Amino acid sequence: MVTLPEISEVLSAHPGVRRAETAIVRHDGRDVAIAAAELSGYVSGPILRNHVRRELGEDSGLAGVVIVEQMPMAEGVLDVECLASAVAEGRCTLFEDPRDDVERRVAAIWSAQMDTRFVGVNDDFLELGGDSLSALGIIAAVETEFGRSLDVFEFMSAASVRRLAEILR
Amino acid sequence: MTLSVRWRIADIARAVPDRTALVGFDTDLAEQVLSWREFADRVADAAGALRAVLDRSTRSCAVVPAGNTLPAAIGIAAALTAEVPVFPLNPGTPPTERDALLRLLGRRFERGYLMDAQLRPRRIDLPAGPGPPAGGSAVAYLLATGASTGIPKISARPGPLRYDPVRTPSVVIRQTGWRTEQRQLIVGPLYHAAPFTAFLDALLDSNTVVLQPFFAPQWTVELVRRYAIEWLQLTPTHMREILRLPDLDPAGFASLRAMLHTAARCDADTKRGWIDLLGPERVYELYGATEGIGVTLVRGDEWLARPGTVGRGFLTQIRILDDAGNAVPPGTTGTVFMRTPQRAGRSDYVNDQAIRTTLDGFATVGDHGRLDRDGYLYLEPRDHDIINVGGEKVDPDEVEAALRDHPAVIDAAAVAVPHRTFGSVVGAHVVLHPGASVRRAELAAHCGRRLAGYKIPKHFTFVDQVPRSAAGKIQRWRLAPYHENGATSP
Repeated sequence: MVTLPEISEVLSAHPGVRRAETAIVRHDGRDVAIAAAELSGYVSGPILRNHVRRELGEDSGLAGVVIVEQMPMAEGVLDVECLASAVAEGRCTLFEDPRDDVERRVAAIWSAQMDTRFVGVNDDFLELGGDSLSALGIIAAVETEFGRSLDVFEFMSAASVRRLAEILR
Repeated sequence: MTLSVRWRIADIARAVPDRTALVGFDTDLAEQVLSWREFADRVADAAGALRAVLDRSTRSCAVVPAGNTLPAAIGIAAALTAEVPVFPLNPGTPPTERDALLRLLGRRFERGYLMDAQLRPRRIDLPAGPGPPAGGSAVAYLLATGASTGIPKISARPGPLRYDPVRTPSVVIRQTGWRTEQRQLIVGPLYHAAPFTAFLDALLDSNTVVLQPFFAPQWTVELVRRYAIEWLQLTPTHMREILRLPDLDPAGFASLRAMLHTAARCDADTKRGWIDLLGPERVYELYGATEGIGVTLVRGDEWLARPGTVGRGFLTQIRILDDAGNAVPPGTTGTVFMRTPQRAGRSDYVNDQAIRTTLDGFATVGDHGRLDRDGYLYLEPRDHDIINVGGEKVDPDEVEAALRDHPAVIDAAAVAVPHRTFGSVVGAHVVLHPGASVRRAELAAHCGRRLAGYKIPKHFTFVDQVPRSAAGKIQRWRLAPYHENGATSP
């Protein structure tokens, strides 16, 4: 089992991160591990989350990374309330597996075209590291797989596996 | 697979040695034609000359006086071939502005090499900036921006430049009717961002490029016809002046696959005029700052359905934020933030006027606008252009469009005039057709039929021309300021 300080340590070693802290946050009736990261260069939450998953394995349990301007501290320790509200307000994308076949097929296409193993269904395409090539690759693969034409604008406004799956259903 | 500029030019010259690479005109306007083989040889020579004088241990850049001439085109290609950061300089830059630009270059580079018309690199001194030159990553090219505010800025594009068959030109430019090996006319000057980047794409995508050395509307139309031009980029000013030509014949544009306009806002009459001329499927508009933070694209048919829009984000997410940084709903105006995958290619500023960014990677250059429910973006005038008449906001574009609608008027610029009661009122600098005359009262009455009372100019000054940047944006700071009594300073 991976400990929270190990997660913080792996994140802090990332070249784009100045400082990172991890805590357990209560969300939607369950406990999730959330990290807060102060950046020195721009990196997205999902990219940092995937970095931890690659380094420590999928069972590291890290659900999401909140990007903060300054580490929220309360009386010398990480302010967990602050992380909880970031999660509640949707400022932190939580990793979530596909819940049905359409989402699984779309996620598999993203994963192949973006060359990343970890695609959460709510991850934003750009935050996950998408570029114009992977966008065109996904659009072409979706058209083949689902036999439906998809334009760049539709794809970019969907922006996540879940919303794209909704269009394709 | 990517290729250096050097290898790409050599490849094209091997594949199609006798095809035309460049058509230019000398000072007597005699046509000069270079085949790809000749062009590649001249570029290789100039790059060799640059490499020979270059001291690789100091941070150096090449400065190319970049009128639309063959030497300028070769000089730019040579610097890119030698992988020396290149700055295309407006040859007409007044000395004080030129010094300011060189000072900005001096913040990042220790040494500059000027490529003159004979393509002989000459060492020039760059005034050292405050502190040692900033280090940082390699640069492909540098462009002067900020022409509409009067404060020079230089944006640096990370480099070196590479040819990538699937990214050159970018997907968005391919979407505007661009084809590999097409014939392109470059009308805007090479020292401006849009024509400069179109030239780089043309170079790497084996176009035949015709360089128009200066803009004259009749000549542009003639060049399109003579060289069967397929792709063309214009500014709204170019578009407006071409539309004014008598006996404009749509048949003269038969070869054209697309006309793309960028940069300045285009007024609705000019836009409709071009849609009538070419048909909506051949008119494209791109909104995206030089800084590369994102782009929107709109084709003529979409614009007809939503007049005034600059389109939807292309591989770009758009968010409108209020002053507190919160997202606002569709229909509400705020600051336009954009996010795009080409982060690696985003320019940074050589000076301190950085782009504002959010924690999640959205960035803005400060433009204001709103989205409709379908994600189409509408821009509002920049804050510093808005004329505040007793609390009522006047968009100078609207006043200028009304004035240009008068048969005697060629061009106009609306500005704020200090006023004791209202804070400011609208004043207008007006350019009349040669030989035309019109009374100020008639112009005011003309505006009164089109505009609300507070928008009608209270003062008129007749001028020979309205100062505009190469992008067609009015340079309001160059206009003589109005005094409270309506008189202008000489």
